[in-house]
Amino acid sequence: MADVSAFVGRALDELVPPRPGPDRWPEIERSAAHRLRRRAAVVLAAVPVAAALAILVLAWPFSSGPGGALLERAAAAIGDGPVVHAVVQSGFAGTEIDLASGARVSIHEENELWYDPTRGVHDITRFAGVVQGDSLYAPRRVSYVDRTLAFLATDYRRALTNGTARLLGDGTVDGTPVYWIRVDTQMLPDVADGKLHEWAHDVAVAQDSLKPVATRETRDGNVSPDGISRVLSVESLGSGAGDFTADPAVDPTGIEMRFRLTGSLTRDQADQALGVGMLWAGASVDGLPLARIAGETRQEGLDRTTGHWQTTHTGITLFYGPTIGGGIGVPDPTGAHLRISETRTLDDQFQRGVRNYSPPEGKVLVFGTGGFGVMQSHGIHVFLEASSADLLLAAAKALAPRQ
Amino acid sequence: MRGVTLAELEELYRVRGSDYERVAIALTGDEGLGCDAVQEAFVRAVRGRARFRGSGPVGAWVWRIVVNEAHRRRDARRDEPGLPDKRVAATESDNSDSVYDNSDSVYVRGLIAELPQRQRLVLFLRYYADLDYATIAEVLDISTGTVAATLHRAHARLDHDLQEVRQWRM
Repeated sequence: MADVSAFVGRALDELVPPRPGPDRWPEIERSAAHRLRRRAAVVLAAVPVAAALAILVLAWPFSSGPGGALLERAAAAIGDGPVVHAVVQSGFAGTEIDLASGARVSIHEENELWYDPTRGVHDITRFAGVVQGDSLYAPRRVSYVDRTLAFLATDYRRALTNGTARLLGDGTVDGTPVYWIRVDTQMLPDVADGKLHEWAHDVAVAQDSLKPVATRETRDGNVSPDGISRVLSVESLGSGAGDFTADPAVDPTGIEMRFRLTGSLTRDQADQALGVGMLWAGASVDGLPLARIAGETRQEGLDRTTGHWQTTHTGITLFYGPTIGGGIGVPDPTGAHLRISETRTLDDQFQRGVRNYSPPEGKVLVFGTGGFGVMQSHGIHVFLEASSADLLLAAAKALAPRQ
Repeated sequence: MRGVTLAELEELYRVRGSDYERVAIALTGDEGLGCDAVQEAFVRAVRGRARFRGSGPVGAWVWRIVVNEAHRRRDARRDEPGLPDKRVAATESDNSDSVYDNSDSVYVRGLIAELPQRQRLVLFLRYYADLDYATIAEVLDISTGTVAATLHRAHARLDHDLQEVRQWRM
């Protein structure tokens, strides 16, 4: 069974209960056979065109052409060692907003990857320099590591050395002057429409260092929806070099955790629960009234023999807006709502979006469409969640030590 | 290019078909759409089996087609005017130890629906299909580290909110 907690597992089972095996195979075979016959003529007609284009590209006299010397220098820039070490930009990002000026800066998660065909893959994920994940995979256990890394580690270097790479021309990536190099071109079918398309892989190398700074994939000349992948650094190392040791402390899987919200506290009691004077956004934020202040306890590492938790963190959570569900109530996810959680110690259970990181004081880091974010002020870490980005920002600006 | 045999695909369908259907149903939000998406995905896989490039396991390749097909059908359905919103019929638990009542079930499903798309997808692939991180990474074209981080975020968010529900019920 997958490593989801009983709570989440029950919810998922309830969403889509376990099912018996399906029995539509005869229909699948019939349908596939029918369509194969219908499309055969179209595919056969496209094959000669594909073959001609592929041959044309592969036969281009790259290494001896005008870009030949540049491609040779690009090959030298990345090196030919068996171990590849790269840092690539992930698609996951947050936006850091300066609360005073409103200035916004995107912060992307980064993956540091070590690749050795004999030792496997070491993948370290960082956000703003703080480790978010650290995994080690044995050789051949990961058939797909990261498209960018595998591409750079194999196809790119091979194309540079065997003369099949082609210099496309100049360009800029994030303001850096680059040369775009086409690594390969293939005519391949897309299962979505069953047609052949021209797929190409390109690498941008910085004009000064000739080291890769970006990759892209194009289909029929158009950049794929994934856009351009940024390569922050890449190098090849000799046999036996590199970091292939993961830090087991980074992976929270298997550590028992408990999260509790209890009671309805006064502001004085909230100060006591937090251990210092709480941050206060007012009795209402953007017209949304305070509904409740709850005490928060987060625990990790249950010793089952003694029943004691290894670590306990405490904090408070303020709920603004109407609640549903009877009793003290839960925030209504369909209506306007705001939640402000405060703690003096960061841990895995406190906030979402990023682990163990708060932006510098005076800034809030928001994720997605701005519905949740993190910040810190006066030594207190804050997690905010709101039904709108404007509401979240209003709360972040209003937060100040309670007078 | 190594291709994949019809027998391999048939075995995959018979052994893992229910997993594919659960994920597709969760992604489309509709039982009929989900099952149709899996059927269509296997039709496409059978049709294109000679072109399977062998860069990863067959299962991951089919998973990618299933996910794409489920998304395509969900989006097409969303664009059709006037169609009723046919949600998956949830089985209400009769377990007396359950910490949820019916209103909680609705709330929990709302929490899952509110997860960012990638978090939901990773969660479904991990839980319904029991795929390992590497296979999920291959299916979604992301790194294994991103899978781990995404799953952690989804898990932490749901656990956090669900425990809150339980706490307030107790």
